[in-house]
Amino acid sequence: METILQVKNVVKEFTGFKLNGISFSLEPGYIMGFIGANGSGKTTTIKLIMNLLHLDMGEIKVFGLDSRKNEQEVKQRIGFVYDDNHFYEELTIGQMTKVLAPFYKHWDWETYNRYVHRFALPATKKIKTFSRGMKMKYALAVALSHKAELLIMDEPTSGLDPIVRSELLDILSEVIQDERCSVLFSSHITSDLDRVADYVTLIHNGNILFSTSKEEVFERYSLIKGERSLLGSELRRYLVGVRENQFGFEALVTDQEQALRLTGGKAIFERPTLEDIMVYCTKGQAV
Amino acid sequence: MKYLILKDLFLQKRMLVLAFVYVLLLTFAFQSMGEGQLVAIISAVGYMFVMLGGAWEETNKSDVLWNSMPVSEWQIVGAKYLAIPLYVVFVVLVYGVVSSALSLLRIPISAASFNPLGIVLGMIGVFIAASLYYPVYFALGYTKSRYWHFILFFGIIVSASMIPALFPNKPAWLDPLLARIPELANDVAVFVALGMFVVILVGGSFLASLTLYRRREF
Repeated sequence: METILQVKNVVKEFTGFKLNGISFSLEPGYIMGFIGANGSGKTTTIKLIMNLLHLDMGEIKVFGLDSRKNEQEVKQRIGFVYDDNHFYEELTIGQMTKVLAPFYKHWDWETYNRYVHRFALPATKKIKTFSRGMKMKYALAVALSHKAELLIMDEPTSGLDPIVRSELLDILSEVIQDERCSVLFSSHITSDLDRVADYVTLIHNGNILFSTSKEEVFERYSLIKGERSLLGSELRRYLVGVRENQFGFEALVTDQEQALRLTGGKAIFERPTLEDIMVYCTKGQAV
Repeated sequence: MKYLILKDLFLQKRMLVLAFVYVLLLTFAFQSMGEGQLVAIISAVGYMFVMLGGAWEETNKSDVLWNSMPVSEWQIVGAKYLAIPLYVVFVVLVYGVVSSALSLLRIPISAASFNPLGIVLGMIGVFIAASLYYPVYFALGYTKSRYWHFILFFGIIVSASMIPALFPNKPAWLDPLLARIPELANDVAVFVALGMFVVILVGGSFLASLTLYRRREF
């Protein structure tokens, strides 16, 4: 099956920021977590995929098609959920959907009504009266109601309470069950991605630090803690983003076996979370 | 595209009260204009709806929504131009209610009677104002284009209301021309020429708007 999303050597420059020839790809039927600190380039990348920004250089292919030359065809098959609400707040969801639905050839009213009922969204109240969670749920209902094969979500859980976040993640897990749909999920709330992501791409200052499966990320990195005296120059070669204080050090280690040998078994090794990996990789040099 | 126009109607119907207020105020302001009053009111209030349509898009940052969907730029731009006749119908209906009310209540404000020529010229006025406004709006967005909007809007109103003051006595050369207007109103060739002018102006404005909108980033 063809790659669903391919970003290749993409460059986009603004004053004070540059996406520096980034590349990554997403296979069908998987969830990719797109993580990075605020201002790292996640939203810029997503806007380039959605053609909201114009590429300076590089190529983006969605469903094997050039995202610019085949824009309409590509967007028929993409569902999107953004951090901000862009629906007209003065309209009800009934009015809003009446305007949106005809643009999608494969709009499914049955699926839409099912989600609206499931999310308990009031059809006759104006969108401006909705809570943040309700607005996100409406966006998700729309995104899932036209047989989208790729869901692009830009920090959809930002500002949501844990219950709504959990509900959203459950729905994403359901959506990819049939392996027809893939999800690109950008977030700096890495605990959400710990739970659902199959692949992880880390971006920092406009550069991709890694893009690989979550299993491989956790195989590659371990968290090491130990006394400061263990921190020799040879050990440092295997460490990423070292945190030192007078009592000891903490770091991400890229070769646990070597680190174990060099510390003589005196250091503690733990499995890191995605948050640890993001923090240490962006703090130091990533391998 | 019709659903983009439907969206504008959903949003603009809230402006009904504002439309009544504007029409009433302008009926009062332009009452010395005689037959030109209807043209000026339709032009000014119709243009107000054009501008408000842009304000709604900016408030909701809806360009991000439409450009993320399978909606082409020419549909987004074209819908704005095609909504203009609907705004004019709206204004004409409001004017009808206001002028009828003024008459029934015997309020001493002179309101020009309905005439097809006045309505057509009013619509042409809105198209001309929108054709000048929309390229700037589509290039820069509502917020950055509002200075241009104010120049156009107040330029129309101030110019229209200043005409009687600037020309208290009609220039002699104007009389033969004004005398010919009823003839010209029945002259198909004049309407065809006017129609062609409007089509060329609006067509050129649409193409400029589309080109500039395609360059924008959101």
